[in-house]
Amino acid sequence: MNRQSGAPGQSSDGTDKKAIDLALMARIVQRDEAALAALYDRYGGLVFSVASRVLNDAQSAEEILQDVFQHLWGAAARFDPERGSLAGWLVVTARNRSIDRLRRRTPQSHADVLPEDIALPFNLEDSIVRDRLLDKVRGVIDRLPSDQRTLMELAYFDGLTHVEIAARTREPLGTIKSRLRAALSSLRKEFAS
Amino acid sequence: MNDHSQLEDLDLYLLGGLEGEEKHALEAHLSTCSDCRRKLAEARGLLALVSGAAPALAPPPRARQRILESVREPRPEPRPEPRREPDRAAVARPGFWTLPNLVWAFAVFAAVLGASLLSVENRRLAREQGTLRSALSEQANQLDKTQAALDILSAPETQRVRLVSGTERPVPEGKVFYHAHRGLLFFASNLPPLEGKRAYELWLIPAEGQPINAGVFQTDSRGEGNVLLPALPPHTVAKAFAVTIEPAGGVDQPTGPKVLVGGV
Repeated sequence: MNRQSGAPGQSSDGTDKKAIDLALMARIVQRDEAALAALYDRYGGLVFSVASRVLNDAQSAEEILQDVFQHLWGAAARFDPERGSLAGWLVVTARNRSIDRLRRRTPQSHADVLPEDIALPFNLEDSIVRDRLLDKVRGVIDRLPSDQRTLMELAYFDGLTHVEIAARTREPLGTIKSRLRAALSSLRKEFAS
Repeated sequence: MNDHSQLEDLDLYLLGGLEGEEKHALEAHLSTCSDCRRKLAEARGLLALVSGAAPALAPPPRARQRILESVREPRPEPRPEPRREPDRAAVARPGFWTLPNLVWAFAVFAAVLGASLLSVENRRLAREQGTLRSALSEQANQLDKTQAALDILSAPETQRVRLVSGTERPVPEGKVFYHAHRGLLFFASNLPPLEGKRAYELWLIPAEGQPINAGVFQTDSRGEGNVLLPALPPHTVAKAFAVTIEPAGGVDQPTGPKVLVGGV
């Protein structure tokens, strides 16, 4: 899945944008608030959008936004965005913490991940490339059969376990798993082609 | 689950689809299999893309300021003025406490107290002004540095040089972003921390002339270090960059072993 060239979303410009993230993170380690502001300007909207989608409440989403960037500030020295994806980390952390809040679980329910725990097949660092890529993701998910799309949303954005989804939809657990597998397989094929 | 994990299992695991024995077996396998951990990172990356289905929304404008204020460390309170011991001789003198004397003493005391309070207040304001001025200057300096770093990284003329050493594992590596007018950024990885009074020194090898000291740095326990915006002679054309091990504090010309090198 890791593609070095020719993939949509990969570009020398994207690599440069990743280098900008690296430089900004190095400044954050040295307690440079201006660097945090610059990273917020690059990714604040992305984090807020994910938190809003999960929580469906602007006030709570803003609190998650603050929580994620405070965590970034506090843990910057442990981060190695060069080995992973800072943008991916921000998105995953925003989603996990929002789910924890939605389901009133402690933040430890989702173990904190590090950028190196996330291998994004594309650069999310460049905002133009990112917008194009996310449009494509929305298109792929919209084209999924409606039952698969609903299951993806219940699992990813509502954070329901498969057992809970089965209870809610009154479908057998095996059917839930097969449909989710099929949905993710479509997504994987779309971005591998 | 002794077999390497199927991608679908990893997807389901990340989506909360594995429970009980199935989940424990996968986690046990992941703890010992780096290949499957890499696949898990890829599966996590794919799932992160699902976030793209969330409608794009802009956070309220106040959020940015709130976040910046929340991470700002409180500045230390100014130390209180040391208390002075009263002059015991002055208060113990007999025959002094007549009414006119008391009136005069009170007037003088009030004047002195007022002047003293004003003086203390003035000194406190001056100190706060100095602290604020230095904080503002520091912030302006940091802003300038960050902007300068962004200018270097975004300029099309910036040269990107990869410095490597071919023998050790994991391979020590350095990345230089160099712009002859705007400056230099350097990031090192997998360089072992040095013991004793030694330091890594980065060298700019110009097209003509002697190597130029581009900064001294140490690496952390993960082997990472950096040099950001060192002072360099302006408009120097670089031919190569290198890192050597030198005495702590650095030297004018390279003397120690060369650990990284990269040509422009």
